[in-house]
Amino acid sequence: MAKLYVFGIGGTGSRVIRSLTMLLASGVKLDNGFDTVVPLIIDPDAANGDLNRTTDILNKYQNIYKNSGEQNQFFGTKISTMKQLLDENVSSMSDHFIFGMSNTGQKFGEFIDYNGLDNENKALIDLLFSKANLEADMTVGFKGNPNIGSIVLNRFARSDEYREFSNSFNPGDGVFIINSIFGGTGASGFPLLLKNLRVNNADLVNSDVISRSTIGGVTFLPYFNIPDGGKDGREIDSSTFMSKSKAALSYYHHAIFDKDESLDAFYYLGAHSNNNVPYAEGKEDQRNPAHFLEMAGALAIVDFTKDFGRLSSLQGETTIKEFGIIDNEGGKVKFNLLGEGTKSAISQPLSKMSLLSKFLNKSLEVLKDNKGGFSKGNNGINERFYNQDYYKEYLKKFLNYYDEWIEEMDSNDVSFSPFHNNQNHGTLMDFVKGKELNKSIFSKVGLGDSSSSGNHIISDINKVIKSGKLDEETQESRFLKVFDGVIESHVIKILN
Amino acid sequence: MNELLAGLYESWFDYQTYQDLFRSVFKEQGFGSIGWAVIVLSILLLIIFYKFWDPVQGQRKKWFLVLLVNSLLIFGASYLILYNNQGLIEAMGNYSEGMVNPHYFVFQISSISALYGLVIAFICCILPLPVKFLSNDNKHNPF
Repeated sequence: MAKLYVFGIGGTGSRVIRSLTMLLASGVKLDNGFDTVVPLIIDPDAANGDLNRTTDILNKYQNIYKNSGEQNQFFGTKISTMKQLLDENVSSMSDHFIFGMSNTGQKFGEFIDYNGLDNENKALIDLLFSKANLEADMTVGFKGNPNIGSIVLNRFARSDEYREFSNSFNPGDGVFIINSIFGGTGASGFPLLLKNLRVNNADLVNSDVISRSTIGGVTFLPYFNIPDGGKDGREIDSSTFMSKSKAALSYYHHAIFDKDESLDAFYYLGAHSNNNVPYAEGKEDQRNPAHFLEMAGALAIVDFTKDFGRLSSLQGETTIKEFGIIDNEGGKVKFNLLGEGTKSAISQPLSKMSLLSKFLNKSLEVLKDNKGGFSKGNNGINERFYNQDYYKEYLKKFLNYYDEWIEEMDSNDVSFSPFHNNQNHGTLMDFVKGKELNKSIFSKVGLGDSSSSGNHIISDINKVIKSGKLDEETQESRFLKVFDGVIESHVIKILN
Repeated sequence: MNELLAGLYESWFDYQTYQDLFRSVFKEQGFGSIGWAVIVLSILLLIIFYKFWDPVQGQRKKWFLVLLVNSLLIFGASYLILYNNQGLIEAMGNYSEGMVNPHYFVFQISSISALYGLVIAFICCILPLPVKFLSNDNKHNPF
């Protein structure tokens, strides 16, 4: 069993980890024995909205995973913090997913002690950094300035988190790095992190193993615009994204790809779209809506584990991959426009998770009133369950995050819109676009349930409870397992 | 069965007044037939409800509807049985004003049968009898 360390750098890193968490929760599995994901978010902007939303989602996922028993499709992959992995008290390391970064809560000039430098060094710094750079407040990240990021982030190999990452790393584990190339934190962090991973540092345990490990990365080319950027002295300007990307790619060319044993798999993602996000210089305001491309980034991680054996055997050769869909001609992307590999990887899990969420939103009251074994039997789920943290604080809120994620991808450009959003209990299973169920003659005249009614799910749930095969499970585990199996069987019927 | 049920029906009437009609029904095993109809129809209807219909929504209302339909069918079955009773047919033919009305007697016995049907079906539903365990979705209907 192996661990996959996923380094998410900057806001894009957080958002791709959010998408990855949604995919894992839906039942997408990693291949080649990767059973644990260790997300590590590198972002100096500790108040970043994207980062905090992602860590909240990860915490909820963990709580659900912990209480749901084993061998589930939903929430079936373990997500761990570094501290949980080591299972020991490392007082200096927090039990969360954020990679600790020291001294970033100040201006860049203070960080490099500009005033303490002699005249020659000051002159050199003045050549490399503008006055605005030196005055830049790093508590909100590097605001599109990779030249600042490259100095600050070069220190992360000295952090406690990096040391513990090194301690916990075993042969066969993998590393994946997520970054955007058109900003500050991601563009500068990626080559620095890669450089540190590939250096065999005698001071670090397992550094030799890490330096020879299989490493993949996904880099995001510009995929959104900031219409209000660059105006009225605003520092982040999306019109510079493309030139910054070209400069960074040029640097990557000689710093990464020209070197042996640098990167084993590299995924490029980008989109020409009219995806506009409001201007935000970090903190809680930076909370970009989810984009289809971020899910494609999460799928790159899944693909990396699938291809892990081959990538490991290539010894230093970089495999470069791109992602594409069938031309959507400006329209919404549904499952039928995805490639076969992507479609088979996500259509069933996402449909399952969406149906679970829709069922709990539209049909839960019917289920609670139902007089079958699930709601009224001793081996079912009692009314108190719905007021316990597992359901109220973790599962329900996680599903709210999931719905938000799906809705954001739907309203974005490119719009990923595989599901309808106008169901009621009676038409619950008509939720996959293009896969609406046929109505029987009886249901058309009001005799009997429509084939898309949520009643069929309730009936099957009661059947499972009646069989008694989940009697030994805790209520939490029973709840998830019963839905896991029943919803899967319905989704298979709907999709085929 | 015939003897057992005859007692259950007689207690609702003034026996002296209705004894001829009761004798006619009793002689042709009428109470036994009605009793079997009550039991068979109640169980049949409950099996249809719990095993084949097994509704997911509006379960209490649908269950009560089945009980009412069961009573109506039993009422009809009793009517049919009694109107095929030779003694009662003769009594109806000989009926004149001032005598006990055999038509009304049939109506009364059928109504009582319907009531017994309701009670039997209800007992079958509240006791942990096998009929409820045929169900997935109504195992706890009504309780």
